[in-house]
Amino acid sequence: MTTLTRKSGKRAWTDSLFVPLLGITTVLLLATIHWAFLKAPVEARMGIVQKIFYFHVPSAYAMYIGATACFIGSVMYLLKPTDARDALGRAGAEVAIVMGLIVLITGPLWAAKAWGYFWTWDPRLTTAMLSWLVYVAYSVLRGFSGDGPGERKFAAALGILGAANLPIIHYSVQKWGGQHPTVVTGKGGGLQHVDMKIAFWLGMAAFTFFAATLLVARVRLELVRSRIARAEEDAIDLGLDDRTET
Amino acid sequence: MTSDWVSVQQAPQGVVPDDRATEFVAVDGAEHYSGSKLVVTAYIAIWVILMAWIFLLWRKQSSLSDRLEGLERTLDRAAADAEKKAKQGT
Repeated sequence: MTTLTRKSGKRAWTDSLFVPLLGITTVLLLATIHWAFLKAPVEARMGIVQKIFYFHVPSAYAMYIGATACFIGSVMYLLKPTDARDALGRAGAEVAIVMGLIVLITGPLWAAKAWGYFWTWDPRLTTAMLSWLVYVAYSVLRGFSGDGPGERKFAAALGILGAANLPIIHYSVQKWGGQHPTVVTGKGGGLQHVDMKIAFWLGMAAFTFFAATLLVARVRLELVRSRIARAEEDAIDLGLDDRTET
Repeated sequence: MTSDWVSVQQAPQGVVPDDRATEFVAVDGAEHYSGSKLVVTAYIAIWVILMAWIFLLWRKQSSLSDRLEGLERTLDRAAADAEKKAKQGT
């Protein structure tokens, strides 16, 4: 007889990772806020608005982490389809959307002060928005097109396409210029004060762990959803449930 | 006569020196914003986005919980049917 509960009694890897990741993220985020607002000096030309930088850049980096997770999950799913690989792709896309939205809102708020306007079709801004829209498309596709193998494979292809844009975002400033600053990637180093450097690198570490925590939480939810879907299918196959398969 | 002609040519198009006393014209694309307000808005945006995502995750969990309850009801029904059949058989 088919068993309705699978992998029961075995603790998922996501469960053992979540609490330590959440603890480290909390400590690092508090340290970042402390350093960015109470230790790092106010920037001479832009004033307090420069402090957006300590969260804007790490959010962009966290968007890359989500997008990379989506890419890895998508490639692995196309090589050998499993629920866990599909879950990684889906979770990565959602993390990329959330972090990308933070980037696309905090960036223009900084630009309003630095440039005098919120938005311009600068190469980096445009490519970042395009990439974000690809992950929104991925998520909309997964939300509205069912959960069959065909839809999963199509979404995986979209996840790979989205990752192809990441190097373009990164190198767009070097290749095509534009107004976006290159404080971190430019030569010479733009963070002149040691406390500015500490606040920035704390932010990078905090958002790395933050993205990992969100990924683990989202993967876990997706795996539970897949297990319930399979249990429903089993119940229908065994004639226990008279609902039609969806 | 010549100096008047030169001063008119050097002024921005459509503007004569006396205008500054009678009107204020905003400079296009260089509006100033309060840095403090922009920073606070940025942090509000971060938290609103994260809270909205947590809300969506909570809704997904609620939907899973409903599906799990449906499965439990199905199992209960199946168990009751099996018990009934067993009693009829004896």
